[in-house]
Amino acid sequence: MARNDIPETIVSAGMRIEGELKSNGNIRIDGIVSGKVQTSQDLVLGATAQIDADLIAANAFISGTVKGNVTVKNSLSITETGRILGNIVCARISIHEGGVFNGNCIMREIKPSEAPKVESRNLEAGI
Amino acid sequence: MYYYIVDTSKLTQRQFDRVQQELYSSIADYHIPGEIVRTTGIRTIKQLVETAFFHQAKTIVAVGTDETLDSIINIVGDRPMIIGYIPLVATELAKAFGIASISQACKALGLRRVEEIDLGVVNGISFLTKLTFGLDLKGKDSFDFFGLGFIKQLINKPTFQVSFNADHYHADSEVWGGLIINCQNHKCDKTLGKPTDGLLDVVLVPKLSRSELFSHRRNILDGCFEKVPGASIMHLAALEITNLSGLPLKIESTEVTSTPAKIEVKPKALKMIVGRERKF
Repeated sequence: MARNDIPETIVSAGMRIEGELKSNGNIRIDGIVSGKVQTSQDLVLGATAQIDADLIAANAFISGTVKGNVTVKNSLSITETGRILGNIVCARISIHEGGVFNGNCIMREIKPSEAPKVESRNLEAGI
Repeated sequence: MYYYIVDTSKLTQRQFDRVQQELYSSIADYHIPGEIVRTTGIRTIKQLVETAFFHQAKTIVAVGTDETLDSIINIVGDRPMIIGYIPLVATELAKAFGIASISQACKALGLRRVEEIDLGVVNGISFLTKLTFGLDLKGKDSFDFFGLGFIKQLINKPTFQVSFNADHYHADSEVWGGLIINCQNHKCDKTLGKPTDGLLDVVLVPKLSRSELFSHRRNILDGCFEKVPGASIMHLAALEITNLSGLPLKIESTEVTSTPAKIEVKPKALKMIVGRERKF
């Protein structure tokens, strides 16, 4: 994940948060959060994370347990240890073997302006 | 007019004798004359700051250590005044402000580049650098090069519960200690401790194992606790530490208040002369 000027928020394993956690930068959670988590950038949930909250992010990588709805603008990845018990809205999804998802999934269309840019020389080369 | 308050209370006479000549010649070289006053047993920093206002000084220059600067900032309070700083000993804060040496600081005063800097406020007391709790780093410099003696001291350090209310949430964590950073040591994470972003960076440090302590001893000795494994990091404009246990809160190893405490950032509250090589 590319690091930018906005510092990352980290909720480590021994921490418990109740309420609304908002950030303009990336968020990494390894602890316990109940309420709501919102970021305009990337959200990473570690294997020890236990979330009882709705999640909103640009991209999300889920290795912990989520009880709540997940709304992701672009890509959502559920890893082998990830569990989502709730509904998902995203543009792209990947669920690794062992990952758990119980709920409804709505795939939103990516507008051409939001689509990842392919370098013109790759197109010319037919790649 | 520049009003120089020279505080030698944290320096030995020998240390001051060594820097005195450089100080006076640099002030002359960069054409920044003014009134130079020195603290004594009966002339405190507070009295000298009030005298500066009485003399209608436009700029007060703290000449001494980071503690001198912190004291002057607190005494000036909300009153309009531009603050300069000439460090008599090398400090991380001076490096962060691009004024690491006496000569560099005097050059910055001559160029008069004024930056609006955020200030942290804890229970009404201002701080420029950071507030710490549970992480008593006093004496770390007196240990051996590898810091093993200091690390040994930390191994048996007990953890405690810290609770705080932030913007829209309440948080609890079992910690070894924590920092609330306004302006950061330049050796640490560059994205933290920017004194112009209108935020305080909260770092909570968990208990570390012996091997973690050993492998991260350099970061610990440098005060870069955000680099140790398992540290929580948050960026807040205000928080309230709700512990009722009277947990001491320190600025530069000096206890200034205790919990419960309201901590907030006052954006652009301080007008300070900084150097071109500043780190923010």
